[in-house]
Amino acid sequence: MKYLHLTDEQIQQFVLEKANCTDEIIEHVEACTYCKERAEEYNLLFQGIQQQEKPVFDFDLADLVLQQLPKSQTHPSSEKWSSLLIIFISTLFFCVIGYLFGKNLVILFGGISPVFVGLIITTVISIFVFLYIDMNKSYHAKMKALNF
Amino acid sequence: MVADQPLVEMVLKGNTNAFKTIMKNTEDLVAQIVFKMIPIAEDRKDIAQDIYLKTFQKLNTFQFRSKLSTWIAQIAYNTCFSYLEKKKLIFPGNDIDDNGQGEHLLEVLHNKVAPVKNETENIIFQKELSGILKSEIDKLSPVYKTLITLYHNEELSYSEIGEITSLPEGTVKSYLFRARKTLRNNLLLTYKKEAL
Repeated sequence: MKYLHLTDEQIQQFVLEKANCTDEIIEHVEACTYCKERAEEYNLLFQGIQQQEKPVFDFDLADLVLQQLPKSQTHPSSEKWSSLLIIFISTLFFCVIGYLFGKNLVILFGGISPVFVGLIITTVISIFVFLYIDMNKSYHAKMKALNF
Repeated sequence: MVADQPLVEMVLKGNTNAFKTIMKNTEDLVAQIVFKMIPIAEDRKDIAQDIYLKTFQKLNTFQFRSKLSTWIAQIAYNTCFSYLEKKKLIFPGNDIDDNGQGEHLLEVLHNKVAPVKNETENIIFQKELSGILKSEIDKLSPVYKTLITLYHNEELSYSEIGEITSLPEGTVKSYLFRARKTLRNNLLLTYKKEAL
């Protein structure tokens, strides 16, 4: 049997998880009035905490939140249709350009060496790639700022 | 009660009533966190709304690795914590009475006050205790108050509390131990001051 009083941690463990306590701790609490009283104090404390009134919001939270829900998420198909519309308009634009100025473009690029054409195409693609990476980064940074 | 997965799927398909059900199922837990962490009553309304708007925005990323209520509680805790950081309302360790100075006084007081003996005395003691306890809990730091509430009122496990607060299980246990000790010491001092 322990002759020193139990530590606070052991007393808490005795009150909350008696099944996990060693026989030494249990025997000590049963025999020692001082530690028994401390255990009883913790017991009362925990009962007191459990009896505390639960806080309740004094407004209808569900109604307030539902009014603010973004409509885009409740109608996911509208986002899909707007993307398709943008793609269609872009394709139409390039087709019209090709139809109206196709011959001129062939003449324009026909006079330039293939290496130079390759260089122009590479530059344009590179600029688009950098722009895409930048937009993507900024999008994720904004989303992160919106979240916790 | 409808399980988490069908509810989440319904919300993602555009059913706002399913989201209302999720809110009703988790509002008590969220209220506990918000009330314990946000000391300014006027700010609680905005924060509570913010928590559920974030939940709605991020619902498609929920992986069902934990209970939905735990995940929402995590969002609530993080939102409140960010608020406290912004307002500079976090004072870590300001409520820890671990230097042992109070211990001696406690022991003296412990021996002076007679223990509660009968049922009537016990009821009176419980009533008095409840009032004093409420004010003593309010004096703890927001994080300690929340940990105490999640463990003793919401009866969550150490691992669930760890998930909500992003603290290791060992840290949760240690913080809870210190919070309870502080609470017991302060409570005893206040109660016995009044009794003497």
